[in-house]
Formats: sequence, C-alpha cells, structure tokens
Amino acid sequence: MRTPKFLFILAAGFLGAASAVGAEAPAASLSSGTTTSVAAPAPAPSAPAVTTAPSETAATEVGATVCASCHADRAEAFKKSWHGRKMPAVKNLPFEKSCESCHGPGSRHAAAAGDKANPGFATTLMTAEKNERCLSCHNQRDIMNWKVSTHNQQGLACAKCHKVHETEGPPKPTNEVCLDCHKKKRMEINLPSHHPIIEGKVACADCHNPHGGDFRSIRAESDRELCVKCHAEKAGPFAQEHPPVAEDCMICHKPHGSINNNLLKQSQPFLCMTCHKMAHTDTTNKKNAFNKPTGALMQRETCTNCHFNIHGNDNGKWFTQ
Amino acid sequence: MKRSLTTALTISFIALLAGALRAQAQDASAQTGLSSAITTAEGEARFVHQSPQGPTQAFVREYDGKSYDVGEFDFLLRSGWEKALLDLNVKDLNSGNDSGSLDFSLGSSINLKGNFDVLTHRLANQQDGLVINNQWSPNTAHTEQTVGQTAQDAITRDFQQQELTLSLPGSPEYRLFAGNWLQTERGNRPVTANNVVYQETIDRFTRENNFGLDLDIGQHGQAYYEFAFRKVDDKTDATTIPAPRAVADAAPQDVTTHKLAFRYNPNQSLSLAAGLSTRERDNLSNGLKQYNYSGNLSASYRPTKDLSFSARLYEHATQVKEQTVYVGQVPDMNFVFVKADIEARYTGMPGQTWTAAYKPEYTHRTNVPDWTETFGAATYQNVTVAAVNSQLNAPASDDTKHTFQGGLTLALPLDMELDLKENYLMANRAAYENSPTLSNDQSVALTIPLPERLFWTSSLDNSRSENQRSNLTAFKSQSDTIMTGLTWSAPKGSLSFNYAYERGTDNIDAWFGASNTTYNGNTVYNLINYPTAPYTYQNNVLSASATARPTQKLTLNGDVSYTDANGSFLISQVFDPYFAAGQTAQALNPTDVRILRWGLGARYMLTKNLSARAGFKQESWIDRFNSANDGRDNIFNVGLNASF
Repeated sequence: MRTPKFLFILAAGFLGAASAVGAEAPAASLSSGTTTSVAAPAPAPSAPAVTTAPSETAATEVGATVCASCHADRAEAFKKSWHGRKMPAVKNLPFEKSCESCHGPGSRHAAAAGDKANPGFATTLMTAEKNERCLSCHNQRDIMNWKVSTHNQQGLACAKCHKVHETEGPPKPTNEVCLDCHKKKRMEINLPSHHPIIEGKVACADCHNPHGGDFRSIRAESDRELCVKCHAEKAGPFAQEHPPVAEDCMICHKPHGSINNNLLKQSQPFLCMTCHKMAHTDTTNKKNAFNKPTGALMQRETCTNCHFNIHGNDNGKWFTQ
Repeated sequence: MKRSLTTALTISFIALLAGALRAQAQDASAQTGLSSAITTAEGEARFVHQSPQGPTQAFVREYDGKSYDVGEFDFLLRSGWEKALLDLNVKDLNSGNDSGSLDFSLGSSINLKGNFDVLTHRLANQQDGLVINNQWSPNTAHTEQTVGQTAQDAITRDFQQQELTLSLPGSPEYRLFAGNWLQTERGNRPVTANNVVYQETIDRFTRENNFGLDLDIGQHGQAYYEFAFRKVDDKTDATTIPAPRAVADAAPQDVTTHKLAFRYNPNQSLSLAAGLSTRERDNLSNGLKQYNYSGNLSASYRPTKDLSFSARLYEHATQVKEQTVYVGQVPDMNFVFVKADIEARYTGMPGQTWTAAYKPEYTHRTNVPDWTETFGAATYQNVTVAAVNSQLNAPASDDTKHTFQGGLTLALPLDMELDLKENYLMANRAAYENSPTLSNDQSVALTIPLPERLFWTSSLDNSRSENQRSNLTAFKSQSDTIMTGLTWSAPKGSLSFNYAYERGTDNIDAWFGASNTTYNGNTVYNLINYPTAPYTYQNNVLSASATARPTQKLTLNGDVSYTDANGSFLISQVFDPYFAAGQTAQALNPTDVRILRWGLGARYMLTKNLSARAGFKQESWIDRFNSANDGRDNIFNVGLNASF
C-alpha cells in the first residue's frame, strides 16, 4: 500500500518542478495514472474578487473536473450543496470554476499529487486569508462586523463552523456547533428552566450574532432590548418601575438556563433578599406580612405571590397591582 | 377539520410545485447541460403516538404542544437552476408544532427568505414550600380561583419572519431590504395574586416591519441604514383578577428604530466599524415614552500575522419622558453606560497563543429611586439589640468596573492542548446590592487527541465574586464547574459524550421579621438575623448522542440526556422556634429535579428513493420534593420518506 503514495510523491516532485517553468500548468490525473495538460480557463463572468496569496501566483487554474478526478466524493456532494447550487444560480459561476474560486489556482496542487503542504494551495493559507475568500462574497450587513468581532479576534476560521462542501441546505450551523466550544452553555440549556434550545425552537443565533453584533455579540444594542423583542410586555416604560428591570434583565435572570423557575438566578425569596435586606421587618408597617404570628415564612410564600407585577406596573406602588 | 383541509391543500400544492420544479430543472439541465441544475425533493409522512404516564403532564415536554396520534408531514425541496435557487423545508405539518423555512434567489438580484415556527410553552404553576423534617411541605395559603395547581396552562407563540433583498446592479452595489417579523401569543397562564391563583388570558402580538439600504462603498467600505417600526398589541385579559389586584401588565407599544452602520477595511490589516441607533418606545397605555440612543465604534488591527489587536467602544443611553397622571409616581430612572474592550492576541511563539484584554465600564444613573430599607427596633435571636433605623438601598448613581482578562493556549506533546484563562473584575462600587465589586474566575482546559479519531476534552472552572462594599446584604458567590467530553467521528458512525458538574453557593446577610417569641431563653422581639445565609446548588448534566451506519442501507441513532439539578435556600435552627415542637426546617423553596430524555431511532433505505424510519423517545421528570410536577411520556413514531 505504500508504493502508490511513494510514486505520487516522486511524481509530485517532478510535476512541481515542471509547472514552475511551464507556461501551462500540467495536472496529474491520478485516477487514470496519466498526466494531461490542462489549459487555464477564461475568468468567470462574475467571479468574486478573491485575494491571491503570494505563493499562488505561480499557479494557474485547472478546472473542477481535474479536482474531481481525485476528490470525486466531495465534488458530487458539492454539486448538491448550497454553495454548489448557489454559485451558478446567483454568482453565474459554473461548476468548472467553483473549486478554484475559493481555493485558488490548483495547478501546483494537482501537479504535486495532492500534497497539501505544497505551496500554492488554499489549505496552506493563514486563517485570516482563508476567511478573506469567504468575505469576498459574504459581506451582507449581518456579517459586516466580522473583522472586528470577537470570533475573528480569536482566530476562528469560517470553516470551523460552516461546512461549505457538504451542507445541502443553507449552511447555518446548528446549536451543536456553538456548544462544541461553549460547553458550559450545554449544561445550562439542560437545566430544569431553560429557553427551548434543546427542543429546537430557539437557536443560539436567534439572540447572538457570531459574526459580530452591535453590542458585543448579541442582536440588539443592549441585553434588555434583546429580551424585550420577544417579551414585549415587560418593556414598559412603566409608571412604577423596578430599576434592575429597566436596566438589565441579567441582574435577576440567567438566560441560558437555571435550576429555578423563570430562569431566575436564585429561588425566591433569596433572590429578592440579595438586594432587599430588611423587607417586611418593620413592625410599624401594618402590612408587614412577616410580622404575623404564623409569619409569611411559615406560609411558604414567595415575594411575587403579592408583588406579581415585579417587572413594572402603572397602578399603585410595590408592583402588587 | 379546517386544519386538516389546510394541511392537505398545502401538501398538494407542495407536491405540485415539486413536480413542476423538477420538470423545469430537468429541462434546464437538458438545455444548458449544466450539472448544477439539480432538484432534490423529499417528503415524509409520520405517525406519532404518545403514551403519557403519571397524573399530569406537569413539566414533561414543557415546550411541546403537539397533537398526538395524528399524522405529521415533512417536506423538503432543494433546487438550483442556471439563474435561480429554491430551498423549501416544512416540518411537523399538522402536529401543532409546525415549522418551515423558505429561501429563494433569482440571479444575483432577488433573495427572499422566510420562516415560521410554532412554539408552545406549557406553564405549570410551580408550588412554593418548605422542607420540614426532610419532608416537602407545600404552601397551604394558596387557594385556587379558576385553575388548579396542576392545570395545564399554556401559551402558544407563533413566529413568522420574512425578508426580501433586492440587489441592484452596478457599482457600487446596492441592496434594498425589507422584512416582516410577527409574533403572536395566545393562551392562559396561572397568576398568583395575594395568595390566590388566577387564570389570566394572554392575547398579544408583536409585528415589526423594517426596511433599509445596504451599499458597498468602493472595494473596502460598506454602509447600511435601517428603519423599523414595531407594534405591540396587548389584549391580555385581567378581568378574572378582582380589583384592586387586577393585573395591569397590558402594555401596547409603538416602537420606532433608526439604525445606521458603517465598516471600512482599508487593507487586510486594519478594519473599522461604527454604528448609531435611536429607538423610541411609546407605551400606549400610560403615555410614557422611552428614548434609547446607542453608538458603537470598533477597530481591529493586525500588524503582523502573529499579532492582532481589537478595540470596541459602546455607549447606550435610556431616558424616559414622564407623565404626571399617576399618583405617587416617581420619575423613572435614566441611565447611560459606556463600555469598552481592548484585546490583543499573539501567536508568535511556537505552540503558544497569548491573549489579553482590558474592559472598562462606566454607568451613570439619574432619577435613582430613593429606596430605603426600614428597620424596626429589635432584639435579634442572638440578643443583639438594634435601634430603629433605615438604610438607603438605591442603585449607585455612578459605578465603574475594570475587567482584566488573560489567556494562554499551549501545545503540549502528543498533540495535546492546554488552555488557561483568567478573568478579574474590580468595581469602585456595586450598582445593585447583588452586583460584585470583585470577581475572579479561572479556567483550565485540556484537549487530548486519542487513537481512532477520538478526542477527549476536560476543563475546570472556578468563580468567586463578592460585593465588598456592601453594608446591607454583603452578597458573595462562588462556584466550581467540571466538564468533560468525548467525541468520535468516522464514516461508519459518530459519538459525542458530554458531562458537566457544577456546584455553587451564594451567601447573603439575611434578615427575617418574626413574631415575638422566646428562643433559648431570650425573647426575640422582631427579627431573625441569619448572617451568610446560603443558597446552594448542584447540577449534574450528562448528554450523549451516537450514530452508526452498520450497512449502506441502515442508519441507527440514539441520544440521551440526564439532568440532576438541585438548589435551595438553606435555613438553620434559628428558625426552629417558629415551627411546632420537634419540627426543624431545612430549606425554603427548594428544587430537586431529575430529568431523563432518551431516544432511539433507525432508518432503513428500502430502495434508492424510499426509506422507512422508526423511533422511540421517552422523557421523565422526577421532582424529589413535589410529585405534582412528575410525569413521564413515551413517544413512538414511524414514517416513510420518499425522494423525488
């Protein structure tokens, strides 16, 4: 089994040297075991403006048929994929041009018989350079902050999350892709109180923009504005407002999941008591529920049993109406 | 009947459309010879049966509003022609949890996207209670007005979203976009008001329409403007709750938003972005108006391939214009926050990635409510005497936070990778009592590649935070998390296993009012002081999924998730005098829940274009304290999938 690989390496060395001096790029047809010369096709009518790495300048385009001679499975999958269908339909880019429109001219790669370390092929590019190729087409407003995003700063490649060759539908990553790295969120979304993420009704990307949002990586200008898009009844503004509600929902809630009902950080009355130290301890207050012989504590009450409009209301104080 | 007819018509239409598109695709393929003219259509009909066990559905399948023992239908269509592309995907038609998506492009000029989803959220009325002598003792004060503790109240949310983008030819490239976002909520929810549980009818909708322009500015720049108008109509019925407790949360709103954003990337090293938005929210019920202004500036700079910097600045302001018709109303709080991030990343040393960040934040608040905590004269149970006093408990007018972050990813022998992170926060004061003035989080993670494409990852997180400046509740928090996972992927199958364990404790200086009584020979007049009162929690979450393809025709899959979560406000023996002799309370409003979800499925290719599948899922919810929340459901499905 080692002999063919050895022969490929030998052939790669030879063909690589040949392509360096040849006007036309020779390409290895590995399936047939013969070498054919492939002329570089004319540029596609609306081929994206792909940045060419310096190492690619010596290479020329060979066409997707040559790529498919080795990568047959991938080429077949690609034809059915979102990219494979979108390139001809939207970018007027025929299949023959599709591989090299992203990977760059492949003559040296083909000549090197698939040696990925061979200069002149996109797999040897830095992550930022690879991403640049995606961004040459994908520049819509949802993605326009990518270069200043946290994910880009962390050196993430587009292909880390997006499977561009195989995905048949729109290549939106599933929640699983996010959870592969954000492991603590995996735990939180499985807690008893959670947004319906594991049920498939809410996606991470519904709230977060992984390509860079206006405010950190969320799809709103503040945490609160994000929440009240769906939970509009809590947006107010109310005549009687609860300051933490007006400022930031995260002061009381854990949005990904919690042990406690309603995604609360702690159960009641503990959560309320983290700020309200002396609530209902004033014996001069006739409404002091805790000053009854049996006491509210013994009645197993929670604060929102009475203060049920805790997110704000218009009629009367203390959110009890 | 109407629903069935609609479903049948929908499916018929889709089938016709699929046939027409397939024919057109074949024509296009024949004419152009393009291999990219491909149509894939799939349909699946499924019969789903549910067999519930237990007295109630309670918290089992909390987000499942399906009708069971009915047929469900999925349909998928993917086409690509010389000048057009269509993806249509509808799922669970006729189930009550229907969803779908559409993506259509015509050349580079027109793109239409849309989706809809139905989400049902059942809202069991969670009981309050105490654990006395290690036994659950639910709240007996609640009475039921129209709904029982076990009532299956639910809200159904329908989401719809459409977006049309028109790309205009020429240079620079313009894209016009228009969108529609609609959410309706209908159903009932339990509301506990003054110890009586009522049923409130929910009837709300939110519609947002937006449109704007997105344009390229030369080769390196881009800008867009967006206008959005959101209408919130709230017809929530509060009449079932008698005055003066009537719920008044119906809050119809008109919300208007303008947004402007820019980016400029003069070269591959430097990127700049900026955004500005304004939002006006009119509460049509009370006449109050809220104004939001937001701005952001971001830059990233990569001077060498090994070194990168990024900086971001955000400002957000909220102001409320008051009405004066409400007696006793105080002005709503206005605030401005400014947040900045400055980050650096360096990969110049072999096998090492260094990151560092500094994130300052400043918040300024006006009209801060003058909230005071009033304290009666008291003798505590520990004989400490307190005079009448009160303490201000208002949010801070100004607070400043400084967060420092550092990280190192280190390549180790045998392709292992070690990841170390540190996050340290300092604040000059806490805005709210439960906000920290100091927090310190560390994490360490190790990834080990094993033979046979196996990857093992494990991590340990530690978090400590504290409000050191508090003279009220002295909030402290600490938690530890251990996570581990195993992944394997091969042509014949895949495996993913994840386990997380988290434990934590939050402490406060708690005070309770109580009746005069005698405790250990001392008279307790008013108060119980419980310093460092703990809320503790502990979670174990395990999830795993596997796929196997033993033959070309057979695919097997299975998944399981198990959650064991408990948390409670632990109370101590200082409370004993307030219970009957011999009774000791351990916890206030605890949660101790075990949730098990698992499923198995198989798919068998009968022919090239026809497959059959069968599956079984089970979900169990076990509440250690309150069995009213328990439930178990078995769900069976069989289906046929045909490709056209």
